[in-house]
Amino acid sequence: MSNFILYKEDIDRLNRVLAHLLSSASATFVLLVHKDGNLLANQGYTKAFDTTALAALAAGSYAATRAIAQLIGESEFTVLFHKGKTDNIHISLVDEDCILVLVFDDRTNPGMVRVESDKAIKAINVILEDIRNNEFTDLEAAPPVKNDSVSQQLDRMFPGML
Amino acid sequence: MASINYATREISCKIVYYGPGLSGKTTNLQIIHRKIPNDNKSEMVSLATETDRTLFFDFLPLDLGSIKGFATKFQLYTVPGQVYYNATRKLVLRGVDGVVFVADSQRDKMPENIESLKNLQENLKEYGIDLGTVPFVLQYNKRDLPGVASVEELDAQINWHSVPTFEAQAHQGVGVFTTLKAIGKIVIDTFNAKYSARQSSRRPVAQSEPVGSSSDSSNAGVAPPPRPSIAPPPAPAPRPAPIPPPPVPAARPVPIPPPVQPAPIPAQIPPPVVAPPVAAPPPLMAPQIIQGYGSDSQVVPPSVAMRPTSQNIVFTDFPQGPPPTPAPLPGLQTFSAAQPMTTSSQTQGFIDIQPPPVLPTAPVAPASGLQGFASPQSAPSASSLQGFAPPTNAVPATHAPGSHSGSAAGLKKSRLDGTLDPSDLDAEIARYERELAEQKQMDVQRQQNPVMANPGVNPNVENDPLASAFLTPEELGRLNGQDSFPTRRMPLGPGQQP
Repeated sequence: MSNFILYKEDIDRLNRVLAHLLSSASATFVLLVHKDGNLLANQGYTKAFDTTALAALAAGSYAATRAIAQLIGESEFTVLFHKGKTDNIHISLVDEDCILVLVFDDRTNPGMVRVESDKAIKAINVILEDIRNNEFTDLEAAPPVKNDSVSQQLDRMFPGML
Repeated sequence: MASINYATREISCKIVYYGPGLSGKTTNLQIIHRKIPNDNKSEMVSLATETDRTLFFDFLPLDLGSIKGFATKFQLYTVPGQVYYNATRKLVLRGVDGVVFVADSQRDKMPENIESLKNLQENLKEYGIDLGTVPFVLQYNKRDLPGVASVEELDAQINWHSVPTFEAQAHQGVGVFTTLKAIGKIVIDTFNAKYSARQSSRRPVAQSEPVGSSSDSSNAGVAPPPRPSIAPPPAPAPRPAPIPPPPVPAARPVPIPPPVQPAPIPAQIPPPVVAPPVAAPPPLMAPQIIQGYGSDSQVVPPSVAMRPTSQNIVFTDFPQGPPPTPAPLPGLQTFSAAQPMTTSSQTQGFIDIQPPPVLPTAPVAPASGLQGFASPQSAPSASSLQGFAPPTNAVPATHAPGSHSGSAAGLKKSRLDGTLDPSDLDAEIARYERELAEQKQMDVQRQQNPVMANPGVNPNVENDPLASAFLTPEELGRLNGQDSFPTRRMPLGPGQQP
């Protein structure tokens, strides 16, 4: 299993696509989520929301729906749509690793969201292909995070409990 | 799967608490959540039933703060322990970096522990993970209850891989943090080992790259600058090309014959006269201008521009870099729209909000052939990019048939923005014809198939909307006069009379 490495330019490219999607679909915010539950990129009005939890739950929801799909003989569903009173969520499959989560309200409609998502997914796929080719290019800029640092940090966070 | 985000300088690892039902997995997370200091506090998500049994998972993001400049985050998950929730357990295990098995120490719960452990092993195997190699610790929980098995007994029964074990009373918080600390250490250790292995096995980088960047982890302290986007050094050090395609990216379509050399060459780089269309990496290290749809065009580090597979989309408002250079540089070869396009790998950018008014021609090195706006002409390499010219300009005057047809990459690019790249026209036509042929074949099969041609619902097929939908008027006419058509086409046995 390979690690997922994101460089700034990758994030910039993803963010540009997401920003365009945000405006063209008139969504509230957009998240690009790894199926493991990690949030890769986001655009829009996310300050008021716990995007980390949202990403994990969306990934979980998608995974559960995929399991349902397999029960009825489908490999997976490519689109999930949850409708609320004012806010809705549109989750669509990007590729085997990622899903795209759009939260939108009644300023737009699901059809528009769907069309624009499909366009953006094509672009995101291209970028993700690059990201998969990413290597640990410069060791110096990156970890290794020393494991004793992890211990120290945990000691600091939970004093007297370790 | 640990995810490393160089943009936000984050590493996040997924740790799953596994174990039989009611062994204390959720309690572990609750205790951790309760003790997290307020400045690191984050919400715990629990998908539980009304009786507080975990239904799907509990999720607790644990932000350890910055460690050596990298924000380290653990995402703690639990699974539902009941046997019949295996489908959801499996889902949660996806992309796991470390596993804590919370065992119930009570003697009569031993079969459940073993069953759950076996289940963990099977589920991990489905993701291609071996329980013997994944970071894994055992927590013997409920040590305060009467009638618990001894640690030796538990070790003998369930510690199959001789992993670290910890006694715990999760309700009182005893052992919870020791376990967390241990798994955290092992996960980071494993991550570092994998990282170092990758680093040492990395291929040699491009010639102009600093030597130190290929050094191994031992001299990490002395070595050169971080990625420009992370630290703000005065001179933006180019990001090393991730995988420099050494000779020629043979796997990618390079349909251009050598003599065609229309890519503009920067004045400071002497144009290779008879150079192959895809040059070796070194001369590419000159700065290149990538044209995007943004309001500016900026010089970016060439290694960024020439990333092997980034030809499809180019966005250019990188934060650093000198101011835009809108005017064509002296000595540049410029293009006219009349020039034939001989490559099909140009593509249009995905975003086309505001094409800038000034459309300078980008100086590029041969192999990365990035084109500017409104320059629908050819560039000789596979990684050439067309800017954002209207697709009508890009219709080739002379398109070598088959030069690029059938290339999946080309097709993908052409579909990127919904327009068809003209040079993929051959492939598109071929595909269309193939589909047409398949359709015809299907029609023939349908007519020959007695079942499909005779949906035996009603002999009077004309009144049967379903049959009418499937049959041609001729077939309907033929079938109308028959009493029981399903048997009519059955092959006759020997001696049988029709």
